Amino acid sequence: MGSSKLISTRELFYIVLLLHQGGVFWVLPYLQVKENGTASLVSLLSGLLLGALIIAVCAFWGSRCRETTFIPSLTQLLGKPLGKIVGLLFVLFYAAFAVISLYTCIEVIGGQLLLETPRTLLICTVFLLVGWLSWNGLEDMARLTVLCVVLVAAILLLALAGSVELFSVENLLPLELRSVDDVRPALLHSTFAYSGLMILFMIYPALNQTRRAASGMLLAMVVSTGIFVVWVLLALGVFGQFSTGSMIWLPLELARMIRISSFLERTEALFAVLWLAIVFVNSSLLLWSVSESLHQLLERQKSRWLHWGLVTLMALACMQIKDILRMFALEWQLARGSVVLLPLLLVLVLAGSWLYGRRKGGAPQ
Amino acid sequence: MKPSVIWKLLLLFCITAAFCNGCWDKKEFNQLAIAQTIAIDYEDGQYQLTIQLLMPNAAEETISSEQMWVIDGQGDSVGDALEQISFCAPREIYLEHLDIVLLGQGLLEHDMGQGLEFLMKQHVLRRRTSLLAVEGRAGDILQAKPDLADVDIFYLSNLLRDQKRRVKGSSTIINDYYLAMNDTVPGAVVIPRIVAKGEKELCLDGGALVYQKELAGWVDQQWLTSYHWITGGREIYTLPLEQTQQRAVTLDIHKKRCQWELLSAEPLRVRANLQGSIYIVENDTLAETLPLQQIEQLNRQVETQVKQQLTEQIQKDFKQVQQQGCDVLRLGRWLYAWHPELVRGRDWPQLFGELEIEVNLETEIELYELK
Repeated sequence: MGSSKLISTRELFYIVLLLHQGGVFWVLPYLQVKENGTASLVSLLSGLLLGALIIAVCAFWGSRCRETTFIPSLTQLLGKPLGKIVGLLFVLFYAAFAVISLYTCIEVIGGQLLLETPRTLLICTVFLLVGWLSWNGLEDMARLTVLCVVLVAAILLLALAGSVELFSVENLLPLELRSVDDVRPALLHSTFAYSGLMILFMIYPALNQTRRAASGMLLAMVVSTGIFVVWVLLALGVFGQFSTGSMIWLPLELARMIRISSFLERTEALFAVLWLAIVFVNSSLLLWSVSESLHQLLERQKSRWLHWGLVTLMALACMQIKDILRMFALEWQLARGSVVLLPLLLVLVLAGSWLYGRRKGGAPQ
Repeated sequence: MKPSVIWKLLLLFCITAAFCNGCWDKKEFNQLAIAQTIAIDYEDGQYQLTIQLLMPNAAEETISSEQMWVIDGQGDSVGDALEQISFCAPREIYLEHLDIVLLGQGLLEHDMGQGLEFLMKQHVLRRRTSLLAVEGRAGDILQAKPDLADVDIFYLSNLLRDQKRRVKGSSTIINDYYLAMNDTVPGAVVIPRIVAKGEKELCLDGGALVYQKELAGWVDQQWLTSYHWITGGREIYTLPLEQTQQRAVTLDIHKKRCQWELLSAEPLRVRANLQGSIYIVENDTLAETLPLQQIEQLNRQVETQVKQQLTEQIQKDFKQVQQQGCDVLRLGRWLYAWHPELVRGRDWPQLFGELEIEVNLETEIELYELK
């Protein structure tokens, strides 16, 4: 599809920030806090660690191979057979992550907002819109992320203002890990949620300048984690540790609690509209990564058939997930797989980049 | 047909489908029966639901009593009862606007959680929905025909709103119930009681004490006055005075939220630090006869008496709660949050009954001399 070189580091900051809003991050609190309440937030550390690793490897690869896009560079770094295999693994990972993320959005729309609309129609609609947005290219999405970050702040402020009356610090306490066995799954879920940052490998070549890009991405990751932590703490402070662990759509539940005096209540429709704008951009970025990486793997120019064929295939994959429990089962399998796969992929890219840099003379460009 | 035409037609179809999405879930305002209040009863193994419905007419801007309906149904479960109602409902029942849930005595004695479970899972109720307890059958409250309000569908919500305006934390929402019931340390919750006086009038009077999802007892309005020292807020209270020429004064008490303090771990002793500003708003005739320089002295005298009487009352009510074994004070929650080692692994209901609660009431009388 061809990346332009017109993404600024500021836009990259917003993209990273937005990747952690909506989608998988909506269900993450449910998967984390059930057994260990507030203390389970410690499991975010594994995600943060992976995120930092991805950003570091991405920046290192970018400094060595700026002249080419990511998937073609893998054949240069690792040789053709291994490069193609690793490229395919990246494409498959992007696709699996995008399907999980998009299904999460469809589940919120279909299960909470548009209850009577057939799920197939919802899937088609969402994929059509997201497919169209991703077809327009990275630049359009990058511009939209700037707007969406304002929406992220708006819904967070709305939830804060509406729930502060019911918030109690005592509901957050005590800070203790009651069940250490349950921390391990929480660590896995957290790692998987942050693995969405792998799409930075696809975005990085489109940067118009890479100076301070890595620090910007790290900062964005920390800020987005901060926003996520605020959501979780708010929910724990309002609903308590037990109830929060039984709510799948935490931000939506918080939106249902909003009552500001007697003039602002039942705000979930407003909340949903703002949130949908965010997840559409978020999902478009993921879908763009899948499409772009597939184009690069197959060494094709921007192809309508390939893009929309992929969108159709992913929509069909989404239709195979029948309910949220099956989605959780799939997410769990992927989370377990990615713990092995992602470090392996990162090590290969890192080693390949280092060797490639040495072959070229060792000096970063 | 050319492939490009097929492609465009397909795209047009998809776009049309995309923009028709909302139509599947459309709700016509004048074809809905909007539920404002639901009453849940449990009698003879059967759940009974009574729903007060508002059936708006698009042509009319105001709501008249002709647009109100009360409909009921019963079944082995809440889901069954709701289905029975939907069979005979004049319009599609729209439950998303439910604002108040009335809980009958039968349900409170049986298992309140079961009554709410179905409606919560169906997303019919929000955690912000208010709860009211009824001594007797909850459905009867909705059948009452209050003359005091033109639009009786808002009677209950107006009563609750007025109460909330006066006493902060006086209403109980579903979230309070789940917080108390699902906690590691079992807590209790006070649900305001609504009483029908004949068929003409409804009023809030006292409350139901719910512990471990079941009714533990009924409490009167005076008990609630003590309880509201825990939640904070503003309250009007008439206090008989002894040792002064004045028989009683009406106090406007601005209460701050209770601050707990651990005094000792073994034996477990805590102190409830209660603070409030007191304004005498009625019957301050004594002050009128005194010169200004003596008013300050009188203030102190009244303050001492007020403090003494309120402290005794609060201690008595706290004792009653301890005897009932219902931690409505959320003391267990506080201890578990800040001193978990004192609660963990111990039988909290027993511990709560045995612990010593010291009451430290700090009051100050303000602006006695002003009208």
